[in-house]
Amino acid sequence: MLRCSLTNIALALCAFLFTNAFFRWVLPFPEIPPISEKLRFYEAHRDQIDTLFFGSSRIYQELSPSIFDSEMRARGLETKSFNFGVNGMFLGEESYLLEKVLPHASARLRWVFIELEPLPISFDPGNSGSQRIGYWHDLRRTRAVVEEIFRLDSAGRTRAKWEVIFGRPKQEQRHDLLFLHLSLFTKNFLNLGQVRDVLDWWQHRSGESDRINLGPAVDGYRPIQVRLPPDKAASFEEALRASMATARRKPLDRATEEICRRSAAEILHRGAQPIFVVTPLRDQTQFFFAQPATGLATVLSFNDATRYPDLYQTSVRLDSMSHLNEEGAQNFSRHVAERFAAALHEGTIK
Amino acid sequence: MSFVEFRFLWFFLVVFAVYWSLRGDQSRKVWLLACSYFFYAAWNWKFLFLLCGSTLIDYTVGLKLEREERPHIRRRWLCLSLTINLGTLAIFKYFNFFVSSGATFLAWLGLPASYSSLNIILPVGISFYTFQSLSYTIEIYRRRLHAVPRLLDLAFFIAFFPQLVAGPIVRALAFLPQLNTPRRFATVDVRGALILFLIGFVKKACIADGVAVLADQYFGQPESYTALSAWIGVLCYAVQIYCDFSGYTDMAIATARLLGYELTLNFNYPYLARNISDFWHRWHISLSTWLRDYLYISLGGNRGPRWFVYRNIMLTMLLGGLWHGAAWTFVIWGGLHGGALIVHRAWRERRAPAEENHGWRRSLGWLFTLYWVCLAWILFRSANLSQAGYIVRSFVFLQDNGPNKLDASILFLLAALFLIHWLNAIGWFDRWWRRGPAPVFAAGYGCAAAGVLLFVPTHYTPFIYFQF
Repeated sequence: MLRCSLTNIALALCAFLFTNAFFRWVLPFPEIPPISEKLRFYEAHRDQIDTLFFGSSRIYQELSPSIFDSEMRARGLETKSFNFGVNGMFLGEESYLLEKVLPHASARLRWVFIELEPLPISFDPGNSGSQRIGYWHDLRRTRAVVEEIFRLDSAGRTRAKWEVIFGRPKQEQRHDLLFLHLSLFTKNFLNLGQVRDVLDWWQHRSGESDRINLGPAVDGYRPIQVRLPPDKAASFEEALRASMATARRKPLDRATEEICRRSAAEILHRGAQPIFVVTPLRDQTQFFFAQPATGLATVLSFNDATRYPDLYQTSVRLDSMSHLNEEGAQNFSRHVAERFAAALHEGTIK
Repeated sequence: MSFVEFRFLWFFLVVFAVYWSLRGDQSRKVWLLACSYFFYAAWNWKFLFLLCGSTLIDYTVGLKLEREERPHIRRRWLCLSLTINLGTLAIFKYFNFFVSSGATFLAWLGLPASYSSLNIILPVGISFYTFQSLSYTIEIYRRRLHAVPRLLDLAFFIAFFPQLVAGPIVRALAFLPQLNTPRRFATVDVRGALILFLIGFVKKACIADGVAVLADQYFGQPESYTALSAWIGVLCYAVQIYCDFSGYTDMAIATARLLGYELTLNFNYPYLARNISDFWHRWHISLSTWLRDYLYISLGGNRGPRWFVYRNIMLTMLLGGLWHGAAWTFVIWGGLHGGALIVHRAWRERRAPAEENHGWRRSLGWLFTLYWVCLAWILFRSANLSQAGYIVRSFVFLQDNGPNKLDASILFLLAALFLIHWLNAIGWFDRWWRRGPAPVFAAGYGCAAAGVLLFVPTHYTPFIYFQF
């Protein structure tokens, strides 16, 4: 009797898991407004695009493909780039999206710029139920995040994080974080509510959709024109001075490095070159890969107020202080093109 | 913790595995009682004292009623139980309502009175377990039940977690005898329980939470929608409340059944009722029978002159409305049903019963009953009477309150749901899942469960009846 019951339970469980895996395999990519639009656009124009920029709002609002291309052209190099940046897209989601994009890439793709930042393990609680937080929680990325959570040391001191982005999760938050990420993984694996995605996908299958998120030049870049208000300028300068005074070189954590290594391997496998970019953050910590391997060597860091003073003037910063406005974005795009062209010239990037 | 949360699944797996692995019936009861208290404490552990206090009082009163022979002393013991149980319910649920209503009434008389309301948290499930607990003392008072000698049995009856927070309101007479016979896993209808749980889950998580979006959208701003949208909003709410509550009940019954206990049937396809009386034999059966047996009959029931009976019906329904919540909208909801029951009773007294069951009259009766029930739901769902007025104007007189429209294609979905509901009522689905060997059922169940999850909305709406 017991044996029979256990067999039936195992059978039901297997059928459940198998069906979930099957659904996961056949279900379309979820319809997520800014990401899906960019994916559709890229699929439609992949034969023309050879350079991609992946990252958060600091790529989306700060790196102009048209300026980058014209700067490269001025240096004798023809590029056609597209900005795949999305507000709030950090390393876990970024690498997941990259894996979805690369199989559809054409042979023309040569360079992939990835915003480099430590893997976030905590989120704004208000976003915890959002689709954006959940959809990229596959086994690999969830495992990386969970490993990072376990590395929170017992003294309550956390691993180095860019406080300006996520804040520092405390030791006592470990269980909550574990619960959050594991439940997101479970929801994702169980395809919870994904019939909604199918309906959304069906509605958008024609390909033509709202292009607002693709920006004015339809290249994925969407600048913001607001300037840092004068009352905040002083506090920005003060925080910057403090950050410069404590600036140091620091190795990236293992989980971040592992995800970057995998992304780099995927890009190299597709015949393209990965380039990691640190955007002009207020935080001046210079991160580096502790165990550089193939593909991880090229890191272009721009969070250096001494080297790039034009990116740290209060006139080019946004209200949030860690972002650039349109004027700053134009400068940043030029600097990226300049550093990239130089690296190509030196042969550090092929 | 609710039945549709993942943590309940883990909780139940542990409860189930340990429960059936224990040898003695007593140890199983102790284990289930501990789990039930844990289940309740997961919401708010402080109110566990209230639950235990209520149990202790009714246990003592039960023993006294059993031993006492003098009627007037017995009546006093019963009054004590009623006063404490209903008094607790009144304080937690109705204090602010009565104080503010009293102040409003005095102001209307031109005697403005200042009052202060208390910031009271309503203990979850208090309306349910109070009625359950009362059924125990009343039945002993009526000499239809013997007092339980062991406190454990009564505590288990009141706190049994599947029905603790939102019913069904299990009667002592139906449940306590089950505690006297040891439970055996071999007699458990596992297949039936699993199917019932899945059906309940689909009702709650897929249907009720799905249509709740439209219902909330409409009831949030009824003054800005068209008459058609009013119909859509009200129908969506009718579907939501049925699927929400009956879904919870199905899961509660299934959970209890997996542990070897049978709970009372609470819903029997109420939207297929042919008249309002039939509706109340099918909707929230455990409450309606409780009210009938302990309130309506205590008021005199069907005995006496016609107007006396009508008064009893109306009082019962008004109090039934008030049981749902401390607001005048609930009282009027009860009044609407009471009025309909009186009209139906008066009509039935003048007609032969066969006439009612005749072809087109039967269909017309069903339609009119559904319409009246939906109309009453407006009062039940509305935040206040003025909002209800807006909706009733749209629903009854087809007046547009504003230009906004809800997506009318939902009506096709509602029609499809109704068809499924009807097919289920005639037992069409039973033919399928009862067939086949156990391994086929197990594999099919796994696939079906995975399929159901696709339709679960990512937002979670709490069970409506938790607030009562």
